[in-house]
Amino acid sequence: MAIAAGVGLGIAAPGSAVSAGAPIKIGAITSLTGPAAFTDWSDGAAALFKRINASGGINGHPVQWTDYDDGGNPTQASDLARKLVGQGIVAFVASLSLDDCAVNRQYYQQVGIVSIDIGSDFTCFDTPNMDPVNSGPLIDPELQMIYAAKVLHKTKICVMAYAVPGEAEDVTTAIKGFEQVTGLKPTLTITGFSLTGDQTPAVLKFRNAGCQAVSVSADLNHGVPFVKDVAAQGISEKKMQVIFGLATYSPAFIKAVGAAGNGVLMGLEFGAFDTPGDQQMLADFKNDGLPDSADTVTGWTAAYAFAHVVAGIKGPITRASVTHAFKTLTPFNVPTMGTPFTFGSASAHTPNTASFWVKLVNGKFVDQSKSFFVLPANGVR
Amino acid sequence: MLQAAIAGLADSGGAYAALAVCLVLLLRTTGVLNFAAAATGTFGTYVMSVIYTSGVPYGVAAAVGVLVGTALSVAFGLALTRWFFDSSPAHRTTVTIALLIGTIAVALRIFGDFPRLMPNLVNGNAVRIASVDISNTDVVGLIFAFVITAGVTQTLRRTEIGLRLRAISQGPVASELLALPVRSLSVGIWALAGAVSTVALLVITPDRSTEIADLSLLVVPAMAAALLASFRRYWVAVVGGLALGAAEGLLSYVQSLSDYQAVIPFVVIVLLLLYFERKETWGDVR
Repeated sequence: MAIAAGVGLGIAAPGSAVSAGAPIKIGAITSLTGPAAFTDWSDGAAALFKRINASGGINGHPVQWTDYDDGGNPTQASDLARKLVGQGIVAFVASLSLDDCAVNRQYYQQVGIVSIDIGSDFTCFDTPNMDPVNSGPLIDPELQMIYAAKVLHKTKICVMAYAVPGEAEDVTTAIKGFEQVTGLKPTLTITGFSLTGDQTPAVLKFRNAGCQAVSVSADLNHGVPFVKDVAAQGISEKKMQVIFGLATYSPAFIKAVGAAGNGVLMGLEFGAFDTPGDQQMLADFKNDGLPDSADTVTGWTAAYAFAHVVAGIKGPITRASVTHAFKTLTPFNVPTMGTPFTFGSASAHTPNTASFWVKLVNGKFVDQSKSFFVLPANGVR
Repeated sequence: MLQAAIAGLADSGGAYAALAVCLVLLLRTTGVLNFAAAATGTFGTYVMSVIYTSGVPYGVAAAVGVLVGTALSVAFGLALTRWFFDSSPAHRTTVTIALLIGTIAVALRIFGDFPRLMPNLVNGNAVRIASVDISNTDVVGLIFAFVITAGVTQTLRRTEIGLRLRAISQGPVASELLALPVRSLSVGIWALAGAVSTVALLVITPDRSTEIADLSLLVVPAMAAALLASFRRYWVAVVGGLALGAAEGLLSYVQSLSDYQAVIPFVVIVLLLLYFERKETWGDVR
């Protein structure tokens, strides 16, 4: 498996080569501290680059990846982008920042550099030089609602979003896609719900409205009390199916919800950990001492996409040649993703438009299918 | 709407009321407005969760959590009575803000920022009112708030210790000159506040986000409730806590107002301050 994956990336088997070429310098801007700290997301990229370098690099060139913390500060994000470009990086890989996309997207166009990133807000999904590997806050709820209608055959579908900047707008757009694809309208939409309060009133509203399925844009900390509040009101999965995204796909969630989590569905932006496509990644995590975390998958996936493209470059690896390779890219499959990785000359990129479905049953995530559920062509991207 | 108000009152009201009583008691007896009141309880609750998830029975884990919350509060009390006894009330209050921020930072370092298993104090539902299931934990929380308030008010009114505490609240320096054990009694009050705060957090955490900062800032609605009682009348503080819980539930039910749910305590605080200061002239206020 390691050798096969290595060939795919243009790298040799572990220990079979020494990277002698000039290093490929790449960078990342991550909000490792600050108001919303993304502490382990980019670790996956480090794990893959570690294996690549141990195996002789990409076509003989070791990868030199520098990850800077912007502290969730827009000024810092702007300064760091210029600092990294000044250091001669050829691309940004696995950035995940509160401000990088909004602050730097025009700068990346000006200097002709690409960013294979993890999108935190809509600006990451709306610019020619940035390509997030995650499906993001728009596609996620859209896929969840459409899955509830098309696969679960629910007709009364509801949506909940929290008081997070941009989330209400994303959900509104997601609802348009849901309506286009299914011809249904959401039975009840709650947006801007308090992040700090008790969620029982929302649960009661969904129950009173007769919602058969509720798509909830919850992170770990808010998904846990939501599920417990649903269980406390005696609402079964058959009456109201709770649907979350990738953020709750974690052993910590299972522990924290206990029996109340039984029956919760999750649409994952990447394959479940027991799928064949994830096995090389999990080996990299193990090799680097990382836990199997849904967050970390995103960093690994961004790094994989970059390494795959760069491995195909003939001639010197420079910022111009890397950008050219991405702008003329033929879509290819990434093992962790359900749809091909794309870039090309489009003015905006959303390559990940599929979700892999698991259900929490008796403390274990159970795959609902062996394949991804892909956003229909008439959905909003 | 009624359902949401009932849910809010049951889920949050008891904890807000108990925390509000702690705040009034501490301010009345030690002269400290304790911004770190909920943070100590949060710390104790996280300790409970760590111990519980390691396989220890809940009763033991909760007892250890309450002890840790109590010890932390005592440590804060010792620091304030030792180093800031003669400081102004504003100065002492500022110290508790520093303690709040410090406790959040240390707790994040120790426990991390992922959700913790926060089991119900008592499993199962107690009663169904207007189609809302009220859990046993919520009922325990409400009873706890009433019991602790009755205990505090009766102790202050009818016991020797209560008499001494009332004397201290009237004049700590004079009480010390009269050989009353002002500092040890103050530390005792800090211990009680720590224990009550931890129990309040044990009651409220199963129902909401377990983020350390969010839980530590539950002191804000408690302060609004305490202010409603002018930081004097314990039973009014209880009613205020219950009312704020109900109001939060109510506002979160109304879509157009749910964005402002978290703002309620601040609005209450500002309105009450404006009301209390209504007869002040500009020069006096300044």
